[in-house]
Amino acid sequence: MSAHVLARLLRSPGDVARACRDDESDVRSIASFSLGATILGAAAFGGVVGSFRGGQQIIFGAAKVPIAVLATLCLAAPALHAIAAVLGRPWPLRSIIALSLAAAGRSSLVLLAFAPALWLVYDLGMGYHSAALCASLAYAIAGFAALSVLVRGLGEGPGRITTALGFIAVFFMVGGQTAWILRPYLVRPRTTSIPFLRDREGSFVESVVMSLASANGRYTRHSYDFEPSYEPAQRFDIEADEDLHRSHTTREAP
Amino acid sequence: MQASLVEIFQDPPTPAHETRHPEPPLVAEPLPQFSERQSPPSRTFASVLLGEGLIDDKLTVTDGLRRFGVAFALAASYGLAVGTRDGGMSFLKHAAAVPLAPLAVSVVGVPALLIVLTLFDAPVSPSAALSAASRGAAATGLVLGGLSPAMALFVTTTSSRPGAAISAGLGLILAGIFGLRAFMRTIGSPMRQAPALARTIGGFALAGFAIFATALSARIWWSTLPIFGGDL
Repeated sequence: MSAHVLARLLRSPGDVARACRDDESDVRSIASFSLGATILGAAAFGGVVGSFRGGQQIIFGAAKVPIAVLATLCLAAPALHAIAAVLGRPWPLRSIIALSLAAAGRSSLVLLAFAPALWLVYDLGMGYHSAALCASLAYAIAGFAALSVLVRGLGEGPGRITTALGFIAVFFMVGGQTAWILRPYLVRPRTTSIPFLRDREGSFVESVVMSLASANGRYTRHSYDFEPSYEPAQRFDIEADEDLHRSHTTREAP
Repeated sequence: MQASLVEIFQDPPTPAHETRHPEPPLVAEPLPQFSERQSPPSRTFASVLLGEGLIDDKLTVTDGLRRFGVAFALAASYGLAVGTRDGGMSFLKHAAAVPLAPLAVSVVGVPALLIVLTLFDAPVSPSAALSAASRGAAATGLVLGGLSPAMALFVTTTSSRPGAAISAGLGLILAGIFGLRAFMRTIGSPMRQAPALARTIGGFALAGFAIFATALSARIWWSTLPIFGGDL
């Protein structure tokens, strides 16, 4: 039965979305399988992202990504239900929950598929920023896989695009904030002590605004000034390299 | 006979409800099975609250008041969510303050609009105004109630108070837009058959009402919600 649902979830997202929306008899098996797939896929992906630092961060990552995904579903489902209702789709809440679970399950399966490749490139010595970019890219592709289920689930009728945009906005905001409060996921290897959660600093939106400003060269603070887990680079010695006109002033912690 | 995993991926089987025989009912008069439905149930909590069709043909005062009550309760749940930031009395203050704006618009603004529309012979009856007002309040309440879990997350996990206030304000604005939209659609439906002059003046009156409702709601929420610095 699970293999049937797996095949339908990957091959026929429209079929699954319709079953969830119309509250068909197999919606229970779809929801339960999607829940399991969400936990498994998100845990595997989180563990791989945590493997960039290694050690206990693998456990932290494997625990935090499923928590972030499931918390997002719990918090966003009532909002999705309300937005769909006022835009002409007054479905039962359980249809919305089943649809959200199916979307999350599909995206988590995509994350699960990305996990081995991501682990391999991390293991080959990828840099921090490239690692973050790769993980973000995988997450974005998984998001599109989820979106295809949600949009197909809306069916035909007026207000379809507005409802879809509302769904995207809610998932982006709630998912972003949930993931933001559960950070860090990707930790530099030289970081010595890893907190399970960082201190509360601003919000997801403020963080995005600050990152955009930093990308444009406007810095308000050093990004590591408020990171208690980061061990500052130690001044070890100064080696003048006259050939290349540069100095080695720091030594990274192991 | 069980199909292998490879066969399943090569040729997806038909949905289970088409191949399996339904289990015998446990009672003599079973309710309709879900598999027999081709679309979601027509009457859900949301559909009853928001009303069906363009306007409620037979809305009694009791039904209208019940709809208002549910809407205000849902709006109060949003206030509770916003109150989680400070806790204590803040729960009650926010829960009491959030429904005040849709209540004031319904009690103060809608009768005034009805008088203006009737003055210019627009085909809007008091029952149509009640239907529109209750639907507008219901849409506002439903959106606020739906946003309340997410808003509890935002206001408790945002470190700066202005950031939390902006989050709470965005939710109120969104709910207000949907409420105004539902009100306009409902009260505008009987005016489509009106003469051109009445339709034109009615359009201006509705635009003025939209501005008034927005300003009144902003004024009430700004002065009563503690998260914005107000006090009830």
